[in-house]
Amino acid sequence: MASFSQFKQLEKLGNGTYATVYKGLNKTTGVYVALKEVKLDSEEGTPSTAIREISLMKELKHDNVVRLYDVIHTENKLTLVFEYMDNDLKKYMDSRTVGNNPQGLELNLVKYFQWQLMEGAAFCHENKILHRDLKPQNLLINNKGQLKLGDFGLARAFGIPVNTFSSEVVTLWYRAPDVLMGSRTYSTSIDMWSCGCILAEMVTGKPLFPGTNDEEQLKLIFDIMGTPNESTWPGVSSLPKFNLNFPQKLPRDLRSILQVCSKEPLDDNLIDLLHGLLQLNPDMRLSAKQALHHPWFAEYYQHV
Amino acid sequence: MQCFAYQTPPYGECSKSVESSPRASSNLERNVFNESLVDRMALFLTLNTKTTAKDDYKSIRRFLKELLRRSQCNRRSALLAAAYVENIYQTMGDENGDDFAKCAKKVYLSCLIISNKFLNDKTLSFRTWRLVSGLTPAEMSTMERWCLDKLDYHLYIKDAELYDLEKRMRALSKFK
Repeated sequence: MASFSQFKQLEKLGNGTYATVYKGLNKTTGVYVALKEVKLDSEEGTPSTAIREISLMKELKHDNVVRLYDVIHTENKLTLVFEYMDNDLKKYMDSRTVGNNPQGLELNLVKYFQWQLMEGAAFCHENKILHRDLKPQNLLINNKGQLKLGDFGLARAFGIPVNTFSSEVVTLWYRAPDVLMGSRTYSTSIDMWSCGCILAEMVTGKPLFPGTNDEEQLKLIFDIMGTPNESTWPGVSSLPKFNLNFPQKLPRDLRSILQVCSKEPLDDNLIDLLHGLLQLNPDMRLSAKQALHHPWFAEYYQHV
Repeated sequence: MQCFAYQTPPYGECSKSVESSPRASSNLERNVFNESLVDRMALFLTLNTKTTAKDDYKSIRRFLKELLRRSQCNRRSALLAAAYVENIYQTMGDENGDDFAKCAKKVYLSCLIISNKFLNDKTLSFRTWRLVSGLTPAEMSTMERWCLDKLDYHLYIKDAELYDLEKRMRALSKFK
């Protein structure tokens, strides 16, 4: 186990869900790290978020998942030592805003990022771990164009009795419609919806469904994807928060909505992948593994 | 509400009235099922931990039953905690130093707190655990940290390993 004196604490990088993150320098190796500091409260012991993040990330060693190097336990704080990443996808997209106009990323970069996102998600899911908070802020990138999943504070292992699941997961804008309607039986599909929202956001530079509350969030989703009913999604009407008075909307053409915000022409394969990820019915949504085999990614898997 | 803290039965004598709770007897089948899990876990803990003489099978069994009943933990949390206990004592080997490790009950309690935090989105607070166990949050904090360090945060145990643990426990109970 490393000791805290081994690291030099540098500037603050940000606030995570339950901790403060600093840039750090490993004085012995000269390698930069990210130090995530968790304050320990003797009234509650080690926060369950930290317990999960540490124990799950220890199992996940993959190029597209941020590496947890070490855990340092001192008197009243817990420090998680992570691989250092230069930036996150949110800040990166913000930095490319021109004036007040968000800009989409170049499509070949979008494809490279999305491919890595799918690889990371597929690896977590193979290891029976749900991330449950995928969003641009939690996707870390470096100057080599690598993208890695970070912040596993809401993650959990699945295959566990469902009554222990919460529907208070995933930042609102990236939360799946089944979860918004109170489903607790979600599985890997919860992450795949978020991946679809992220893909659209990289294309246009703007969040696809920027709701301010649960109700508005569902409305924004249905405005574009159409209002579900028993014939398009069997079982939807028995979800706890399903409402027969939802305004009835027909699905709109996703391509024309996104095309206005993109400089490059959006091809059929990209739109088809988006439709696969943004299926309202979680059982119909593509898995990460299926997405990796989607024709839009042909240039990646055909060269392997 | 009855305050369990004043009874601290896990470490003292357990009153008869607690054993015959109406809630448990309402579902006879489930009760028998859970009783056998408690039997097996008690035997497992007796054999796999370095306990002092006063922690015999009977006292551990009574402790477990009360602990699981009061905390309302499910079977998976209970079993996962047993897996953690096994790992802790295995890594310690013959090492003798921590007084805390001599109390299998406290080690199991800490592991149950940890398995509860690992498995559930809504976890029991230390206030609740205080009512369950009679220990202070500070004590539980120290114990939790000791266990996490011994386990090196390897809390994610694959289903196959848990089934294996259950199988080994079942085999144990034949010797009883």
